[in-house]
Amino acid sequence: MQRALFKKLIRDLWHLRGQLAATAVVVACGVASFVSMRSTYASLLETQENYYSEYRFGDVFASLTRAPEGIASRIAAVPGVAAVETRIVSDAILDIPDLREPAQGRIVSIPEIEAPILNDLHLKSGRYIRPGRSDEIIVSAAFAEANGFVPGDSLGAIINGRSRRLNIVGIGLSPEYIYEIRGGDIFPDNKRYGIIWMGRDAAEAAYDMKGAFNDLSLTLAPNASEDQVIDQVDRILKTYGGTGSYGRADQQSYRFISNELSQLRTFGTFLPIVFLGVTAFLLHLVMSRLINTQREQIGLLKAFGYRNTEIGVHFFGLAFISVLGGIILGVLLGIWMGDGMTTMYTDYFRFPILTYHIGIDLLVYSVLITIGSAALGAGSAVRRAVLLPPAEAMRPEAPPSFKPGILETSGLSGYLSPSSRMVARNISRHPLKSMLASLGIAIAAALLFTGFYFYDAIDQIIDIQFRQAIREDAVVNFTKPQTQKARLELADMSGVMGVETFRAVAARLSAEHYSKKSAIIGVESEPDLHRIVDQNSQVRIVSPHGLALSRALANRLGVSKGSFVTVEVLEGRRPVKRVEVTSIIDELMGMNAYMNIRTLNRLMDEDDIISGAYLRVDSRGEDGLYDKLKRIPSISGVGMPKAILESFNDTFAKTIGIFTSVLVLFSSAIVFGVVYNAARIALSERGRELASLRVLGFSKREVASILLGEQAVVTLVAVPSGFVLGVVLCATMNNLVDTELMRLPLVFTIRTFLITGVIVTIASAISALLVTLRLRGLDLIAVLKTRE
Amino acid sequence: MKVTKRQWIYIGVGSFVVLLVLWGLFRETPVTVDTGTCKRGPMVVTVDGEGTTRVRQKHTITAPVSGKLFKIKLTEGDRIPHDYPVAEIDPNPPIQREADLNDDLPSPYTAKVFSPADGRVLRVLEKSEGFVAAGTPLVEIGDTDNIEIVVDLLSTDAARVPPGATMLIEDPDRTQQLKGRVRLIESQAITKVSALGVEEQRVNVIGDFLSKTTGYGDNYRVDVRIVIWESGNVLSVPASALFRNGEDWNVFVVEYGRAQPRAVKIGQQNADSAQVLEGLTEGETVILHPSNNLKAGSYVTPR
Repeated sequence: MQRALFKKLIRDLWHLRGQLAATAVVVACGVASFVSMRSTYASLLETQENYYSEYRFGDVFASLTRAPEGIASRIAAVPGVAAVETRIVSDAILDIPDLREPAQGRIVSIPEIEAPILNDLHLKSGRYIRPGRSDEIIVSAAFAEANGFVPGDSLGAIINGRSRRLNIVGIGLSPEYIYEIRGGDIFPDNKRYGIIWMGRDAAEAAYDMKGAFNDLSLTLAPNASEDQVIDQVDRILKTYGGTGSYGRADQQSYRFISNELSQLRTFGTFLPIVFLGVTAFLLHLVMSRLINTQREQIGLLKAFGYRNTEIGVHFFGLAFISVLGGIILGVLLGIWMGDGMTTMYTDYFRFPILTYHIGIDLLVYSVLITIGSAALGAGSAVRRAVLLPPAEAMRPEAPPSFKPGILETSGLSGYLSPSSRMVARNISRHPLKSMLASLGIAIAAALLFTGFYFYDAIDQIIDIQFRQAIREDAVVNFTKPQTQKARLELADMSGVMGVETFRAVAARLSAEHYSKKSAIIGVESEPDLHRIVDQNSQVRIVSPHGLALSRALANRLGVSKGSFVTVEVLEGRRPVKRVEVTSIIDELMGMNAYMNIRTLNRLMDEDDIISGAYLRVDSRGEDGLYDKLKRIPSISGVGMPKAILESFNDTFAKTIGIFTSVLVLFSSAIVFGVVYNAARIALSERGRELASLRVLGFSKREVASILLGEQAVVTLVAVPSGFVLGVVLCATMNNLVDTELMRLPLVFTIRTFLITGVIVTIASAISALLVTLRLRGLDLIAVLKTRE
Repeated sequence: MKVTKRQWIYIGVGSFVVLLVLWGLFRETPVTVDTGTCKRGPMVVTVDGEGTTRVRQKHTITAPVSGKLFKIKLTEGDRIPHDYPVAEIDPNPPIQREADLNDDLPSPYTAKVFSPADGRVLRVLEKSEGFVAAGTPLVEIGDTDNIEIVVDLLSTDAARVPPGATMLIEDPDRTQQLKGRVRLIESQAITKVSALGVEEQRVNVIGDFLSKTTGYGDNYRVDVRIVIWESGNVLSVPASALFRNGEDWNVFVVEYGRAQPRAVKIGQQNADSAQVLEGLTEGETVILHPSNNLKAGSYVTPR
């Protein structure tokens, strides 16, 4: 008994090989996406957590102007503080041989003699600094790599107004700077920004900080409240010019990594759900149609005494064998991709070791959910087979009602050829069946659409951020606020064609019980170089009254236009004022607070002070200008937006490109799988009718056109529905990736619509071709002999 | 096989759709750009500086004799006429006065100091009663209605300022722009350390307000723009349209919807616009802040 069923299983498998293989491919895509993203996520997360605990990453960070070392013990005495590390942190202009533009180094002090500290260094190569050697430094790995530094190289720096020569003795990594990025930037420029670790004595001498510090990091005792510690620490540091302490959530490197991780987790959940949903749907389609065509066989089997469970197991087995094939393929593909993705992450996240590994639990989990979704898809069809009474099954299915449909009543039928009429009738008599087939193709098209959407979104981000908003050639930051004289001085330099200034003030914004530490950027009234552009490409002018907040910040503070926000300035005279929110800006990047520069300076009760300037540079005078900027003591750094765009294109855009290509490839496979399946099923259902038509004298071409015409109509309906679904899918995805760092603009180009349409059409054409070939080989007698 | 009329229609419609899709896929997507126009109008080139106001005539009243200075009853800001008695000094103060005797009467021997001019009290340098030596500065007075502007410019900028140049005094809070005129460019430059910490040569340029000023006192900050070139009818383009091609200035001109690079000769230039000597005619549209995705012949759509 079992052997007969087994034989049938093997035969069915062979008979349905095309459709089942197509299903297996879809399963493989879903599993691969799940396994690769989840395993990369798990690997990164574990590496990050291990790194943080092994190298004692701080929990709270604070910067201040200057405090005597004795204050450290007062902070250590704050309840909830486990350990405190004080240091000197400051930015310096660097002159790197072979680099035309000035670079910026973040100088961080380390103990003269190597000792375990918070945010400990991991030496990648070279050695630790020697005590008393004030010229010896350790540089960060990404910076060293981008500039080709090896221990033994040296670079020039302007430290506290004095020109110095620094010798690199080691290349290091720190949990504080896993993602090395200049404050306020979104993308790294490793060539022009790096971390420089210098002996504490050398740093104290260089910055006139003998026995003092200007930055600290601390770890919390278990169960300590971060908020309470921050409050206490802020109270102590207030008199020393503290600019507000903050937890890990606001630590730049940590923020970027957690953001990336959460995105990875989101995509690793969302995409597999969609893929597996399509799998379930596809299996449902295949199985229910298969069971329909095998009605009489089922009846026969039952009549011969096969039990319902055996029938059920048989059909489930059929479904699972293809799913199993897909799982194996998907897991292998997923591991390969996950390994690649993890390696890709090492390009921007610097861990001492980042190894890719995949947990057994993840594999089990992926098998279970795939089988689960397959069972869900095949379930109802198999249930129908199981419940089918043998006597009824042996009877042919009740003929559908042949009363006049819409086609006949509307009188349109006269305009159509006989074969077109047949196509129209078939569709209108099985509306649900046709709709389901359409829906399957539409979902696949929607996935493809989403893949192409990512290209559009990235293009739009680049266009808005780097062509419309940021148009300056260089951003100059001053070591301390300057008067308007600094602006005039920059404007007077040869090579400078335009100057725009800004003010940045550290502040804590709060509304009701929400609070966020954020810089307030004072912007010019009508900027031309550096503008604020929202996601709809609208240039936003900051009104001379009140505060303009980016949407993400407004949401975080729970405020809307017209609300009042308490601004607690953390520098200068430290004014605390209530300011009205006069506009909310839908920005693509960051959480920003803007004010008119004059209004901000009035709020600070200061003259027309500036923190830095945006420059437009004449490319002919560039070399001379950058050379000059390298030697100006009051400049702490020069940013190059164009270099950042380049690094964006080199790293991020490439990564996103690979990710998107995989998505497009998978979606294309799914499109093909669905379309091909739909066509094949139609063929097996219609086999008898089509054969009869052939016997009645229809030509092969006419018969093919009836079958394919129906498929064409189904596809034609599916494509626009796919667009609609795609837009919905993109919008959903958009909400999922809407983070405080970046949002994706919801833009669709005509190209995305067209490519999606063309790929679906091509998939349909190939399927049609395969089906036509099969139709030609149809054995008329054999087909007509069955039944009755 | 004969192709029927109906089939011809299918073929026609089909190829049309295919062509349309191909065009949609492979057509050049226009670059969205900001544009400006090359136009005629007035143009001003300035040298900008941060200056201070200065009371032209300042008098420091000093003690004519050593002796005991009685408390000066003036306060800063008081307006005093010419010959107003500013202070009194008793050159021979008794060591010990007899108590309660004619105490309110001025000593017959006191020396009175008079104001040499009309004006306002700028500073009272000796606020309290006490012994002063001859020559000690007591009060500074000056006419705040009669003030001049002093701007220290880089010597290279000062050399470009013609005598008698117009000065525009910037004050965003005022509706009317104040004007002044350069009177003197000092011939001695001094070495100063700039705001950003660089040594440079600075020259004082002194000018007068052309209209009556209110609200300015002595040593107030003023932002000054000195006009070094001016013309009422200049062909100019926005400065942000310019970019370098080797040594030459180029602009992207929008011609029939396409961006075409064109070499231009530029004359005078200020922060906003540049005078066009050759290469452009009035009314032509140029692309502002041309980005790197723009090439010769790119299709563009003005934003």
